[in-house]
Amino acid sequence: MNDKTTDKRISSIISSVNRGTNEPDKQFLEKLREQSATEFEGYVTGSSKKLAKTINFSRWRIIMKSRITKSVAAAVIIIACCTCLILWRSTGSGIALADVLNRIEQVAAYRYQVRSTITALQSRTDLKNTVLISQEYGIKFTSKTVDPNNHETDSADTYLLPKQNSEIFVVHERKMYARVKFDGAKLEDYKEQYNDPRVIVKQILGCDHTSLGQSVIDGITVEGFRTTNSTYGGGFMGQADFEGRPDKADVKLWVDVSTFLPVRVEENVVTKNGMRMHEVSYDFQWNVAVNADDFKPVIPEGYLSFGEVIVPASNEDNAVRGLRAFSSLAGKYPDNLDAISLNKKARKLISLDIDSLNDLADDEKTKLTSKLMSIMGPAFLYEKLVEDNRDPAYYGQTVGPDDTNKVLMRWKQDDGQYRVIFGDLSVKTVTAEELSELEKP
Amino acid sequence: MLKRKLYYDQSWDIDVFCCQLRPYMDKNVEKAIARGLQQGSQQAWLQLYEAYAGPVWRNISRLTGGDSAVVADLVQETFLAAARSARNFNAGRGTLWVWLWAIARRQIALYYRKQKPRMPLDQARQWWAGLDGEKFDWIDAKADMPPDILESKELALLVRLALSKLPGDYQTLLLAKYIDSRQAEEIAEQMGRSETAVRSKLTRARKAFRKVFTRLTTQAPKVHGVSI
Repeated sequence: MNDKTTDKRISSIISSVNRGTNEPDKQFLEKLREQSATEFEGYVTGSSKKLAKTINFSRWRIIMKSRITKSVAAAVIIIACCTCLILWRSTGSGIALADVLNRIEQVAAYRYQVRSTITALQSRTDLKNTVLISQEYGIKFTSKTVDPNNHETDSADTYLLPKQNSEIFVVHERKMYARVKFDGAKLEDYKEQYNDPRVIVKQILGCDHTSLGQSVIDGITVEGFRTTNSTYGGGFMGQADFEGRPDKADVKLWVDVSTFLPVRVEENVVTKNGMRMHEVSYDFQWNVAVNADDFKPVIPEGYLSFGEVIVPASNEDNAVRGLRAFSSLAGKYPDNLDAISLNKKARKLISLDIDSLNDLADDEKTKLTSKLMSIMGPAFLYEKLVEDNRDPAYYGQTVGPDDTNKVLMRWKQDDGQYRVIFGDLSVKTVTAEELSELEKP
Repeated sequence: MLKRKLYYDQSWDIDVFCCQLRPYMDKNVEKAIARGLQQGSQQAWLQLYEAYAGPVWRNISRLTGGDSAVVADLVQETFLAAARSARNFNAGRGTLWVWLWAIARRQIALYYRKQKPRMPLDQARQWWAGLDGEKFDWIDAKADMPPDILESKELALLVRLALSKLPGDYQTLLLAKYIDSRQAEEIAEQMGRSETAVRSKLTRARKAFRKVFTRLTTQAPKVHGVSI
C-alpha cells in the first residue's frame, strides 16, 4: 500500500467531519469583527465594559427571538404573554377608538402587509410580512427577510389555528416545523404577536393617547391617533419582551374617517436594552374572500419536525413543577426567571440539541420539548405576573432547595395578600406584614 | 503528569512544533501583527481577525458539527476571549494561530463538557459495533471504507469526537492535511521543518487518532458520556 492510498483513505474518513458543517456566516463574522475590535480596544484603554454578549446571529437567531416564533421558540426560546387591558373609550376626537375596534371585529377576513426593521448592536434585520386574518379560520403570517439589495428570502410561516387550539411554525431557514399545543393557555393571548390591528387598537386604548387630527394617505382621508406611553405592548414588536420592555414607544394609527378601519400603523419602540424596532403596517384589505385551504399549513417535504410542543398554562402549579424539575437536574434553582436564559439553561440540562432532534422519534421529540416547557413554567408565570403588576419577586440566586422557610418567589393576590413559594417548594398565602418579616435578611 | 495537563491546557505553551502550523500567514506580517497587538493597535487586531476568523469558524464547525448557532457562539467566545488577552500575546510561546486555536479548543472542550448525557454518541457506538467488515483495517487505512459508511452521520460524530480528544497540534495537522488538502511540503516549509519531520508527526497524529477512535468505539456507553 503506498502513501497516496493511505492518505486517500484517511482523508475520506476524516473528511466525514465536514458532513453538515457550514461555511462561515459572513454577516455574523462582520458583526463580530466590530464587536471584538471594541472589546480589544476596551481592554487596551482600560475602559472595557461588559458587552452584550450575543450578536444577533444570522436571520435565524433574529427570527427565533421574534414573537412570531415565540412558541416554537417553545422548543428554543419562547415566552407566553398575557395582557390585561383596560379599555378607555374617549379619544377626544371625532372617532372613538372603541368604535374602530368594533368595526374591525365585524370584518370576517382581512389581509395586510408589515415592514419591520430591527436594529441591535451593529446588526440590522429587515422583514417583510404578510398577515391574513380570518375570524373563522385563524391567522396566517408569512415572513420574509430582506437583504440590503432588496432580495427577499422566505423566513417563516406561522399559522394560529383556534379550532385546533394550536399554532404551527414552518421555519424555512432551518427547514423545520413545529406544532404547538396550548395546554390551558389562552390562544387569544397569542394574537398580539401578529400585529393584529385589533390588538394594536386595544393597546392604544389602554394607554394615554392623543389625536393627530385629519390627514390624507393614498387619497384616503384619515384621522390619526398617537401614543408615546412606554407601557404600549402591542403589535408584532411585542418582541420587546425578549429584549427588555419598551423604554420609549411612539405609535401612530391612521383610521379611514369614512369606514372607521385602519389604513396605516407606525410603531417605533426602543427597548431598555437598546434594541430599536420600527414597523409599518399598511395595504389593509378588508373583507377578503378566504377558505379553509388558505389556512392549511404547507410543510415542504424533508422538513425536520419538532414533534408536538405543549405549552403549559402560566399558573402556580406549573411554576412549582418547573422549579422542582430544574432543581432536580441542577441541584439548585435558576438564578433568575428571565425566559431566554432559563430556556438556554434548561436546554443544556436536558441536552436538547435542535440538530440532534432529527435522530429522535416524534413521541421522543414531544417528550423532550414538553420537558423543556415544563421547566419553563416559572418563567411563564413570572412574565405574566410582571405584566399583571402583581409585584412579583424571585430569589433563586440566594435561596436553595434546603431553605425551607425562605421566600423563593412571591406575588400579590387580588385580596392584597401575597402568595409565597418557599425554598422547599411549599406554597402559602401570607399577609404583607408577614411577607415583610419573611423577607428580612 | 503536570506536563501532560499543561499540554492539554496550553498546548501553545509547551509544544513549539505546533506553533509553526497554522493557516498561512507571512512571517513578517505575523511579527507586525504581534507587535501591534502588544502596542494596543486596533488595526493589528483587525488584521488578525481578518486572517483567522474564517479558519477558526471552519475548524470549530468541523469539530462540533453543523449547528451554526453553536459554532457562532463558540467563535464569538473565542474572539472575545482573545481580544481580552491579545495585548499579552507572547510570540516566544508560539504563533498567533496556535495561541488563538488554544483558546478555541478550550471553548470546544467546554461545549462538549456541557453536552450530557450524550445519547447520540451511544447510538453511534452501537452503530459502529453492529457493522460488519474489517472495521479497524478501515481506520488503519489498510482497506477502503464502504461509501455508505463514509456518508453516515454516525461516522462523522465518532471522527469528530476522536479529533476533539487529540492534542491541538495533532488535531490541526490532521485537519490541514486531510481536509484542507495541504501538502506535507507546504506544511514543512511553513514550519521551517523537514518534510520528514512533518511526515513523522503525521504518522504519530494518525496513530493517536486511531487509538482514540478505537477507545471511543469500544468503550461501554456511559450515562454521562465523554468529557474532553
